Amino acid sequence: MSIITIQNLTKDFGAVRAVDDLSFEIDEGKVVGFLGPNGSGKTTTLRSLVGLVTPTSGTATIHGVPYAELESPLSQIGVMLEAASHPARTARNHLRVLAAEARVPLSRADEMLELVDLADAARRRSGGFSLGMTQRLGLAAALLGDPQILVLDEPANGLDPEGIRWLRDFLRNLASEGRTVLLSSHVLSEVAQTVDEVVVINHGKLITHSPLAALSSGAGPRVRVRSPHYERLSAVLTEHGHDATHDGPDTLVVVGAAQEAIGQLAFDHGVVLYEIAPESSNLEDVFFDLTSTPELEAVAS
Amino acid sequence: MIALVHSELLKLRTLRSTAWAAAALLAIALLTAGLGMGDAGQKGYSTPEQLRETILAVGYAAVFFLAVMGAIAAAGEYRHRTISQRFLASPARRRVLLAKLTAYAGVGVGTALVITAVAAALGQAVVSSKGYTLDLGDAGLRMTAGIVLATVFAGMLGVVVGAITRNPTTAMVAIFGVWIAGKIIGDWIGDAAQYLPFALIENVLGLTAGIAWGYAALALAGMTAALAVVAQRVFVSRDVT
Repeated sequence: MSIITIQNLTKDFGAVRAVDDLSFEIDEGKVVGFLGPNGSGKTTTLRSLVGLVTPTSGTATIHGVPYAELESPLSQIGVMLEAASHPARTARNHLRVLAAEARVPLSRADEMLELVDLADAARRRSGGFSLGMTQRLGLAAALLGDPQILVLDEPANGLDPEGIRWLRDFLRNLASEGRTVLLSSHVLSEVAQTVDEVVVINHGKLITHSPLAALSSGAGPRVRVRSPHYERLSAVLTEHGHDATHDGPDTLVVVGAAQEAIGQLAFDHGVVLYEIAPESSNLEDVFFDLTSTPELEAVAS
Repeated sequence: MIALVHSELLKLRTLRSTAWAAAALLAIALLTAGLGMGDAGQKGYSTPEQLRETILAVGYAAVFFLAVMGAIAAAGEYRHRTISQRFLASPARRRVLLAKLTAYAGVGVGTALVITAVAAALGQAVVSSKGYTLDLGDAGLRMTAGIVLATVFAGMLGVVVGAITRNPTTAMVAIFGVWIAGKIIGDWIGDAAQYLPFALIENVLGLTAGIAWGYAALALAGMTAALAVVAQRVFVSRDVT
């Protein structure tokens, strides 16, 4: 069942089209990475979803209704778009203010600070927090209303490796509770170990929406082949419909053909091989390929 | 709505700057009342009406404090980017503005009553020792009502200015700029000067008597409401990017 539905969403800022006829759906209980390079329209999409930005056309709904029409929205959807707080207010008081607005008990502030490992800093002013602590405070704020849906915009932004690992474990824990999480990032590796599926956008348009596994296999197998007759091998492979590119002395990289097939073709045509080895699938390369091709047609699985 | 107003008051309570502002205003009230009333009997400064002007001056200080506090609170939401959280909690944005207006109106009432009471009590004690009186009967009630109303409208106008400017510094410049501009152009525009914001506030306070007190209060209420509608329709409803 779709929890979040983005339908033909378009947003213009003056002459700039930030989001361009974007459509996708997020199912209940999924952890979804919302990916794209900086300026691709991720934040605008998320802000449209929660009513901070008014779409030029199209709709963005939660449970089939716009955010503005949700009853007690913060109890249904937790949002972290920017971990903002008044620098002179303590972490605890910041959350108490938000709790009062969300109509949840003020005691939730202390519970959330415990949850994000900030209890020791509860009475410190947030202006003195590190980036990692600020992000944790933002997560605590998003969870105040104990929502089943979380929308997090670049929560790993600026975190050190330890912080990213903490965030990954934290999000895994939230996902294990059956929550739906939409998590944006411009770095696939930050979220690759956390998400079930990915929505990739670029220039405000949908590039792909697929399970993470399908994304990594979507580019097909890559095999590195070294041969003194690499030019003849290249011709043979091309003849059989495989994509072979020259990649250094005596070396070809073949995309879309299994090792066995390449070996058989080489044997059949009397081509000597020095080396034949699969190349590990690099998600980051796939992501880069997807987002560096602006005119790529949207492929929604 | 109650939750939003509660949150606004909690925001004020959880900042040290609020306590410092309250302490500063209290100090001004005590100093002004103490020193001002100490001059009772000098240079013909002796009638209850003249002596009460010192308390009105304290009220004028409260007006500026509330206007500045309201403006900084509203504009600060944009500066610290916490406005997103406000609108996420209450997607109906007019309620966010209304809650802030209500909270600062309430703070204005409390501030005005405390400041007036402190200044009046100290002032009465000082002038009594010199054989004079402030005559705080009906005139005292009228004075208190004026200070309360002026402070309430100042707080609300401050919130509106903050919501329009979205920047604390610009908001402060706007408030003091309007005050200074009113003093400069007031002589040139004749009777119309009575309807400038600070002229109306002074009228409601009782420092001037250009137009009837009730009309001045109504005009100030109308101005506040009109600016609040403009702030809501034109500025608060904008995209938060």
